[in-house]
Amino acid sequence: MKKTFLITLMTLFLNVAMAEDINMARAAELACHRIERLVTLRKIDESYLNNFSHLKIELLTQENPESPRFKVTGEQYNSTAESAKSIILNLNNEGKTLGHILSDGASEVGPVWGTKDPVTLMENSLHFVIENGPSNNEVSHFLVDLSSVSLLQDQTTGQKLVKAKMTNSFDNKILLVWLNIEGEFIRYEITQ
Amino acid sequence: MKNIIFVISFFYHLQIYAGPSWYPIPNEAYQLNNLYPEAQRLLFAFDYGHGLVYERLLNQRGKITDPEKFEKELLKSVIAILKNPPQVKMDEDDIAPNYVYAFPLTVNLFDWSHLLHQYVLDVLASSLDRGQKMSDRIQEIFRQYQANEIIAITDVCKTMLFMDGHYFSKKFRRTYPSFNLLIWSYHWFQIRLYDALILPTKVERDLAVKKTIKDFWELISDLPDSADFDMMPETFKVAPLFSNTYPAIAASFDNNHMLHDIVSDLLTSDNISYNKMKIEAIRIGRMALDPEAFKSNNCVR
Repeated sequence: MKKTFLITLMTLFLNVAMAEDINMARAAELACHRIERLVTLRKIDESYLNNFSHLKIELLTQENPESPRFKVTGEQYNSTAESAKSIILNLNNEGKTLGHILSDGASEVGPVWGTKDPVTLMENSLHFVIENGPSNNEVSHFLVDLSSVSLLQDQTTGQKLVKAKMTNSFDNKILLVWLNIEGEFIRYEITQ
Repeated sequence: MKNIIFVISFFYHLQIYAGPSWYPIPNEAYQLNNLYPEAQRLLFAFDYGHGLVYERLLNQRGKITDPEKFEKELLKSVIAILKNPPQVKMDEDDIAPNYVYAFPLTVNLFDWSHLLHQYVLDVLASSLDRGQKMSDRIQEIFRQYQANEIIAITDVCKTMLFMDGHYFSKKFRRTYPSFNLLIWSYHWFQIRLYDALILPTKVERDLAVKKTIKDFWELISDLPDSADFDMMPETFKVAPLFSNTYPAIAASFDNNHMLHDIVSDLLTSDNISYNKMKIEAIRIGRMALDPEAFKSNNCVR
């Protein structure tokens, strides 16, 4: 009995060790947390939080298990053709940030959101994908193959809503996630 | 008339302050203290530290003009307690009477959950059988915990939005980042101990507990930079062995830890009145009990 129990423990341990790699949506969400931490600890200025607008994520070819696996670029709001002021984060397999680089560029004061900052709102929209991706085939491509997220405002109903627009590298579909201004999920839609 | 008022106030007082009691106390209770006193004393110190910070936040609510200074003073007080931790569990009523009065439901949830946490650690630390008997004993203790359903935090996984999805969320970690990372280091230590103590041989457990204590001190050695957490540590990641063996208990503790952060946010949110804060604490406490509130579809089990 003891032997069986120990073998079970070992098997579980190995499974856990192998299951540590994370998906693109989770990496993007963890990058949002890192940006928040960097601003809170005053390592970077508040514009990276308050003017945050767009996130791109790429999968990197790893030279070794310690090298970066994900490259996440967080861009600030910018309506010009110039490249936006941004932060580039490199994350490992587990989503731990290995380092960041700041890139100068255009930055404008973005839309006024409310009590929640745009990084938190993007994080909340990613929670929808992380929660529902494993059980919803349509959403799953945005879990595994997420390539970008943009935060937009939608006032078509007369009420200010958050619209997160997500793309993936698997097909041309777009996932739109609506949240209220407090960051609570309202609905989603997948379009071509 | 005086007698009636006295009787009513006596029972009202009891209802608020009487913490939950586990009866009969497990035979293994506080074996962790006998086998790993340094780890046990740190756990006592965490309880003390939590009580202290909650009480100070409550007493200074709306009056803190220099949060950085306040945080530094708080850290100094609590680090001193960690360096010279109590040898017995401190009574929270003595450390934090106003907090205990203002948050009766969450205090009861924490007390009950901490007893489960303590007894599970005691069994893991002391069980001579490292197989099925130990596992059965832990499940038996867990069933006793669950049987007190009015104060047993649910073992259904919740999403992180339980912690971060409210209008007052993140207030504490943004106002007091170093102290928040200290609390997340407590959480890390509490759950890492599971994986240290679940190991099959005494030699392995001794080494793992020693390393866990050493790593904890490193985590808090140069706050905030030394504690490199972007998010609250979760059991499936910090203690994967325990989490996979006892997933329901792991989920229950993660929910407990999220509830601690929510209480910190409520106490830090100056724009919520005292009465509203008390009402919100009850509402959130009920969510902690409710398996459907913020239920995760994607539980790591």
